Amino acid sequence: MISMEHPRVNYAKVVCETIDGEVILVNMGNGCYYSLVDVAAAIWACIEQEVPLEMIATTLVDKYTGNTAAITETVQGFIAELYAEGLIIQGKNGVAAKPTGRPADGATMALAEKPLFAVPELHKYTDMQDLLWLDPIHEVDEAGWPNINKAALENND
Amino acid sequence: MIESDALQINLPGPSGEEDQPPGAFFEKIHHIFQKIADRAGGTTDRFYTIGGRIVCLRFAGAALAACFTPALDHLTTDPVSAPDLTVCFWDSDSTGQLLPSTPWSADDYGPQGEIHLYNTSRFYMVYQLGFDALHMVDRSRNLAIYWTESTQRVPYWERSFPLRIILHGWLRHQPFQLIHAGAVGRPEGGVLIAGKSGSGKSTTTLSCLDSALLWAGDDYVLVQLDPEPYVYSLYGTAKLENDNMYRFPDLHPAISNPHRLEKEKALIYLNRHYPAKMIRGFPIRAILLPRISGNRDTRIFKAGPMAGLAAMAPTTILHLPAGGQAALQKMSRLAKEVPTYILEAGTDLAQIPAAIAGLLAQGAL
Repeated sequence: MISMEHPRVNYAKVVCETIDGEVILVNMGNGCYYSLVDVAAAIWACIEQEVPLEMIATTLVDKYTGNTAAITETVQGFIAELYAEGLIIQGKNGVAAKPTGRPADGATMALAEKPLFAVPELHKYTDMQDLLWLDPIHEVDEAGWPNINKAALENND
Repeated sequence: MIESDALQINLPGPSGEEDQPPGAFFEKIHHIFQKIADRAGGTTDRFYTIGGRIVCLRFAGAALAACFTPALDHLTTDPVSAPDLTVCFWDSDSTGQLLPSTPWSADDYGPQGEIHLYNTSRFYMVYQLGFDALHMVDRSRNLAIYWTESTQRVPYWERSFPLRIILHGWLRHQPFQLIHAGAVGRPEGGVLIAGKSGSGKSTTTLSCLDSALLWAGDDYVLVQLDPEPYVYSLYGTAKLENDNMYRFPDLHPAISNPHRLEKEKALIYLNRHYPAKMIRGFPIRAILLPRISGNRDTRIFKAGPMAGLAAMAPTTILHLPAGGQAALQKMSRLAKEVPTYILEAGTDLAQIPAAIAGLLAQGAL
């Protein structure tokens, strides 16, 4: 299993934007797009700020009510899922960026105010994958580069 | 006879980026175009107003002009001596001049055909696999080149929205964004109609042809963000799926490709058949996301900005090579600045423009 101590956004292939706490991600490498809300969006915000994995888990523990070990394990699992989708990469060093505007900064939120931790979900959409009509890996036909799969070409509108 | 590198290319001396790989290759291709044009006795120049700017399309051969200009005919304008952008078109088939060997390898292509190391703040280069087309933009000179092997191989969808990639490359660092959306409205304001192919964009825009609403686009439009969100018409074409044509019997005589509908969508040049319905642009008052309901009546209800962004962004970004993050941020800004609504389009098509007009009439927009 790959070590993911310093997850970083895979900006070489991924574009992302957040509106009202909801994140949209587009993976230019595979044509899939994704949405993240709630806990998943909070984890993504940490990754964008280059927070090390250990601190991401701490941030979530401070922000949500739940079993610390379970939250940590769940965060690790979600990070692994993001990596498997090519949305993040392993950073080479661990600049311990401080999350901004997060309750974890001061851990001052009263326990009663914390929402319950919910398992983060990665909502994946694959209906645009056929738009990657120029991909020499996926769309060339048996004649090889630079011959395209004509069926894919015909559907590019 | 096709010549290979038959012309003597005299490259200009080094100056700035011109002697670097993108600049040197751009110059090489541009000189070939100039030589071809000289040999042919000149170019065919056409002028268009695109996004409020004057664009000159310069063709090395009339056949190329016939291939790429019909979709833009409604934007025709008078010639000027200094256009904001000049695009030089040439093909190998009609000129007998092959494209020189490209200096990059297969490993240099990005997933959308963008050529790594040849895309800089100044240059934008994309090779369109499939029908073989090279798109190049030199932003500092407002000069672009479009090469393709043969107009015979240019697919119908490329003819329906020519220049899409070059315009994206030219405008991507400015507050403009090409968006995969339709648009209908009046001079004082209108709506973007966003969504992926098959979502109901064409049904919605075409249903407005029999109404007081004017038509700015069906598939791709150009949006300007400053000083206020404004949409410009780009293409006077509409495309209809085979199984959707029954809804629009009046359009059947206008279909330009009636004998190829087994493999192609029906392509209709609305700028030719409905010129009075064309509008060059208007302020954007709302983003509508069509849904085909199957019910008789049409309803409109509010949605959040993320719904608008999700309808516009993935399909647009995956169509347009390079610059995805900037494009996403522009569309995000648009989604935050104008409200988004779901348009539940009913089977009584007359209700669709009526519902849109009703929405536009609301001062609360």
